[in-house]
Amino acid sequence: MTVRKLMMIGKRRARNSIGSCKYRRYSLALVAMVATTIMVNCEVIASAKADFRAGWNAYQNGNFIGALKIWKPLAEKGDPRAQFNIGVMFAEGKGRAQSYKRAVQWWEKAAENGDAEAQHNIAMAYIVGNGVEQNYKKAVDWLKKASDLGLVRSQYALGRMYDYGFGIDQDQVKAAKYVALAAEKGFDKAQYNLGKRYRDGKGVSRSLGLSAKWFLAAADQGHVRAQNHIGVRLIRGKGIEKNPAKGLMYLILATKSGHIKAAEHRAELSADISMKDQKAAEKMANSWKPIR
Amino acid sequence: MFRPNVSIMRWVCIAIFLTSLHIANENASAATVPDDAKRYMDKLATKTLGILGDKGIPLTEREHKVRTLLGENLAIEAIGRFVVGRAWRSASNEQKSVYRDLFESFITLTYAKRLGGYAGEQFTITASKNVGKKGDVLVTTEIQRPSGPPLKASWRIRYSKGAFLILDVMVEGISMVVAQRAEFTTIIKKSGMQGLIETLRAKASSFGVRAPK
Repeated sequence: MTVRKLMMIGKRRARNSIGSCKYRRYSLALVAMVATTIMVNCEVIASAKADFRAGWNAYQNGNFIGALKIWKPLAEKGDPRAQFNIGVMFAEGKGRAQSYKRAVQWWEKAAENGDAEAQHNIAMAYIVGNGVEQNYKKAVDWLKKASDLGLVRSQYALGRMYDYGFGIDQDQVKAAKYVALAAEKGFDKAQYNLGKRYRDGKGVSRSLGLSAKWFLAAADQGHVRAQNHIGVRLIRGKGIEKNPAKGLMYLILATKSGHIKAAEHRAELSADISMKDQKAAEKMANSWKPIR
Repeated sequence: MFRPNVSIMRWVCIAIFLTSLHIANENASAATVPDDAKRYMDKLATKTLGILGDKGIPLTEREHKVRTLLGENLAIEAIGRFVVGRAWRSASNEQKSVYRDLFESFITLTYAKRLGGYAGEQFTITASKNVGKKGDVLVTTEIQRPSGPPLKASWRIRYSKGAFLILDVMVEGISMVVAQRAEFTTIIKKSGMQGLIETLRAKASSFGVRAPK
């Protein structure tokens, strides 16, 4: 029974018992009990929050043993955030000797408490074979759980499992569906992947326009390979309105990040771009900031 | 029609190969001087420990800075190709491109996280000498830990195209690059190059510690 319901009952009974000492006493006791329960719960929540933050501060100061000392009692009481973080510390060997096995054990506790990031990390452990025997099928099971909770990275990862038929029957339509879910929520890697899918007609109907749309979305977030693709598209006007200056800007950005192909495209395509556009591209590249 | 003798051709090839090795050797050994490599290592270590010891910024940010520093100082392209062995040749262009990005992310993240676990250690350079046919320098260091014996690490450094790059780290005599190659070869044998790519993707995709809201 929820606290609110108990209070409602208390109030109703208090109203019904006007004039009756017995009921008045009963209702007063009930209200006092509810108030005490609320206060105790609030204190517990506030204390857990403060403890979690104290653990975080210790961790950020490099005091890993101190962080573990604070988080462990919380984790044992069932706090999924503390359980998750202890798992990460075991995986990274911070405060304790590195143990992926122990990491997965802590993540499993958090995952049982509905923690999507813990579910995702378990899936990754099954893909890599860290702390558990490599098992793509089990990885897919965990990814499905985290995807259902709306975790973008898991949706994208699940799309990739369908793409290559790892742990599940290969299915490009389902792969595109999960990748699109993550892309719609702004995940740059998924946007780039979806751009390629529309370009190649993989799991979706081929569309140069949509592929340019998704390459552009990823490029604007700083995805280097997407910048290379959309740079060429904008210069050639393929699937998107021609804009040589903007196209060259993306090629400059990708080249600066060390993308070899982008450097080749820049050298090859610059010859056909006016000096005015080239200068504009340089200027835009210098002041460019990723959209996050 | 003139048909070249196979055994003569073989010897010509060997001679060309040996000459090219000699040229590479001369160029490299002329460039990588042990004392220069030692100074480079000292500077890099001071910079890295300076970042890690800066308690004014959060650990996650310190690790990110170290990651960038590693990206600039590790011979990522060369290491990346070596650790996948023969699979590199049969990989598609798309796989090579994706692998390059993922490997850089993997190696810098792995070492930054490992380094992030250390704080306040004393770092000393104990030796530096030329090794191998390409005139690389092996700089030996000792890291004093608050508990336990000092950690011995040797760094294989090459001077190339005007910059020093770290080719390998040997911790207590075990080459990290050779160990990595063994691990990657096992994955490639089991799941192919795409399996390795998905493994690296999974490693990069895992979530780190969660901050309070």
